[in-house]
Amino acid sequence: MQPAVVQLKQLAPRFELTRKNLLGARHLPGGVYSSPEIYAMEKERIFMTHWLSVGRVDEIPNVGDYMTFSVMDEPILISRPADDEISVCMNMCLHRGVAVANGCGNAKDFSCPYHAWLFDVGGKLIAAPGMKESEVDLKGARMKPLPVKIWRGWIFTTFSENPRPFEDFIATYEEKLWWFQSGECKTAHKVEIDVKCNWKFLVENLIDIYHVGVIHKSTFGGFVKGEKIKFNLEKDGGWHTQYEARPHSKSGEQVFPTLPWAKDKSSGIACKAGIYPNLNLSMRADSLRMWHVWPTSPGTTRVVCYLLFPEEAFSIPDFDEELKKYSGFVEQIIYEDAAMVESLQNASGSKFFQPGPMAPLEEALHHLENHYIDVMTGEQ
Amino acid sequence: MDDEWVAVAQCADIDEDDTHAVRVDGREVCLYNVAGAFFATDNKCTHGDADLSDGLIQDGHLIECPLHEGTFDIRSGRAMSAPCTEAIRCHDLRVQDGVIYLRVAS
Repeated sequence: MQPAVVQLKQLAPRFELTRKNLLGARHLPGGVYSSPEIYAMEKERIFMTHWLSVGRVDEIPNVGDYMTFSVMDEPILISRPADDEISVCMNMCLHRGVAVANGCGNAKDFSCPYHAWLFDVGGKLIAAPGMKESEVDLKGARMKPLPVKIWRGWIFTTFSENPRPFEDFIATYEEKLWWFQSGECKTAHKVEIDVKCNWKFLVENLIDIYHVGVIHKSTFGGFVKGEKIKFNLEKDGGWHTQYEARPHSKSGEQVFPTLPWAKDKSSGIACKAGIYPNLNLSMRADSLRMWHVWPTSPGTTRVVCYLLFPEEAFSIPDFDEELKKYSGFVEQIIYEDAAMVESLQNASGSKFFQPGPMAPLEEALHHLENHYIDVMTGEQ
Repeated sequence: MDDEWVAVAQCADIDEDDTHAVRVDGREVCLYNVAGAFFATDNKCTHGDADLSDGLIQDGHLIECPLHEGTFDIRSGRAMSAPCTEAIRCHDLRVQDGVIYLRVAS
């Protein structure tokens, strides 16, 4: 295959169709969802430059707690070296690059499984056995630290050497998302599901109201009035909206206590937002969710959905059972979507696939797909 | 009581500045010959998963863990250098007629 830049040049006339105004526009061409070269370029242009949420502070509450994660094959170590400190660094031994930490847990230090180089919880080298005679100065050496910013309970980091100021990146959401008080919440459960499609299909799917009444008819689709939804489009591919819908339960009845900040609002309040590239934030009267969409290969994606509640929800009678039902409900939604986006993925690689026209309800997708073209073809 | 002492090795089994691992009551113990004087500690490092009997004796009376090179004072069990911070348990040792006897601390 041709290099990504050449492929993108060849797709330029198709991008022009996505560039048209909403009612005349077509979706992105299949190539951007199926090409390995374009996927590699997305890593550099998108995931290696943006601020990314990689977890929550309440996942590592105690000193020594850690978790490991990979962003498009870049292994990172997220840890709490001190009570008031969260650290993110590359999880690569300074000797040969082996991951020194695995999974998650609590540790006093990390011993590389290969040659036993030892690192403290924050990634600083403590010991390099058998290296006394080495002429290389290892004093003060540490695994490459990444910047860390905490926003409403989320740990944000970036791989960029020259990141945009975080405050600037988050300003719109800090100002507009009064309803996403995730800093006041605890993680009740994390739903993780692998889906066989390109990451962008899932990000788009999470914005797509048009499909809700069709495929989610038996879960929550019947409770959403799609035609009444108006999106607020923000710069850099961001968006947010508020509409009427029922809580996320099979019957549509509210199960958990009303969120403190939604008490003076309609019981049918629903809010949603997207932070580019891969976050989808959502509220119903009794719950918050944040979806992370992680590319794992051009045609595979991992969805990580955090289910969040304020403290008082955890003490309702039968909480565990209700949580199980609720989390099963969320999983069911993902499975309903997965069947569609996997079929979509199949079509994207076909020479017969022609992207169709956008629906009026796909305003936020139009915004997002156009932002994608900006990011991939614009100046860096 | 005399019967608490268990014969575990011959002095001749351990060269000067060397170590020797033995098992007493299901416990791994490391014996040391420090310039002709004998000592005993637990064999497992208090830091990582390593046997001190595989380490080297340094500066006369320090045992260096083979995994991360932290050290303990063989005579007192004290942790002497990073990453070791927790002392290693010492055991009573007696030599009689070229035989090493141990009284293992519980």
